[in-house]
Amino acid sequence: MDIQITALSKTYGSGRSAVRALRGVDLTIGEGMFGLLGPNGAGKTTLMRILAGLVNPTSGRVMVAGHDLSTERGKVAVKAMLGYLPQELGLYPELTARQFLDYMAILKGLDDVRTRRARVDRTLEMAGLADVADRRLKGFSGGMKRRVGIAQALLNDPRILIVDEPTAGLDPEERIRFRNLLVDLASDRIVILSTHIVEDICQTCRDMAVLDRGLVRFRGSPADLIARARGVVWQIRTENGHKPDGGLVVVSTLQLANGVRYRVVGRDASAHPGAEPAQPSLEDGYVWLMQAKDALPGGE
Amino acid sequence: MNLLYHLRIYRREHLALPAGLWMLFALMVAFARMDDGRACEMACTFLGFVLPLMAGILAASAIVDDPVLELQLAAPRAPWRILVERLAVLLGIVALAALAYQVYLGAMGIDLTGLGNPAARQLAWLVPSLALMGLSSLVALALVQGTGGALLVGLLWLLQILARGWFVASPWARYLFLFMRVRYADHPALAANELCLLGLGMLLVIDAGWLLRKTERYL
Repeated sequence: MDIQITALSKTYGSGRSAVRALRGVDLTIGEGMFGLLGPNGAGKTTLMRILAGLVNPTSGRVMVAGHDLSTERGKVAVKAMLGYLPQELGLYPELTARQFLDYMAILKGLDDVRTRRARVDRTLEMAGLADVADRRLKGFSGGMKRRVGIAQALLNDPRILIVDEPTAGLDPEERIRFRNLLVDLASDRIVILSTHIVEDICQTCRDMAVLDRGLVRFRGSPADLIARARGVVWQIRTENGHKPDGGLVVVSTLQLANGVRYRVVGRDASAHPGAEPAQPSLEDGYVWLMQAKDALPGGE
Repeated sequence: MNLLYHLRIYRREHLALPAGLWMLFALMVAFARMDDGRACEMACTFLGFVLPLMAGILAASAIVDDPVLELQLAAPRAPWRILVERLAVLLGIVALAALAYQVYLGAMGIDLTGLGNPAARQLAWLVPSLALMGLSSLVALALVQGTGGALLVGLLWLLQILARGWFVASPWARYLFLFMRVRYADHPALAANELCLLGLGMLLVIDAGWLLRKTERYL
């Protein structure tokens, strides 16, 4: 089972106000955890919504497990095998977690009461919500609401799970827990994780793409992206706190007792005598990729 | 089960509107019951004017104000089903209010035979309610804004009350007049008027369902 995306474009509006969210995206996504990384406004949510059958592309083709998403029949078939957690998750505050999941299960076509109850109980357990299942959603924290979101996405035991910015706003413990859950789920299905948080991809995905301004800038494994930054990552310590310049991009800054240590990416750090080469991380690879793209004429 | 959840998720402040109006008109009728003509007038006002306006206003926010609409639309079912189920629940609420009010009127001894027999009497609220629900849901979906649908319904309702004489006299507008049974029950065009409004209401709901297929407008 795979997802094949061919020459996919999406433009919102028309004329001078038109916004090109996707510009000829080609991707093939197989089973396992797939990370989609990119800055805000890169087109990630548009791509997720197209895959979820919610948004129609302007041009191009999407085949999901052999179903064509451009047809109504294909959309319904894909939605039946899909679990979807949107970026902005709304809930019904007056319902309890169990009631909300029961309602979502009905909408997903789980008509048999006993099967539905068993599935709701199972997903409550998977999401770690069993203890609060009968509490109203209006009393839930942000992390608990995200867990309700993932629980509803799992109700129909989906073959494809699409999660859009799932860890935004979660505390570190919740984030780790959430990532582990996604990795467990990815063992026998397609899980697409869309995020702008590099660490989420680094910890979970063996396959990824970087999307920026509607274009795929990178396609490969996190290790491939890290390899791209080999030899261009430096650590520079300054006592006066002046930021390194000369075409270097600061990835992180650490205040020390007697100065500031910068982690930078750039081809040449010779202007800074104290610069020491460093092992690249995925974040360095990502910043290098985006920086190299910005250096090209027109930002392309 | 599904309809029950539609009812449970309905915003409480919206449910307060029919309940509040019901009680207000129940009180007004109770105070006016010594004057049978006045009490009957009030009862007709509630059934024929107030309930349809309420139905129209409630229908305007049936879809576009749903906080979980993205998940609803991602479910493997036709989007028009959401609309039909929600309108059915709203119609159920309005029907309950209408029937309970008639039982109350019966207990108070207020005569409503002027609106026809008990079955025909239901058309006084049902027909305009369906027409206004169709209109407001279509406008709300077209504008992607519940307020717009409610506002248009309110304006049309007011216009028809103020210009009722013109509507009834007009050879074509009489078929679009919402309050024919409650104001002119003996009018020869009553049956055609009700058929026309029912058909129009259905057509508007179908159009609203068609609009809802364009799911990206509502995300």
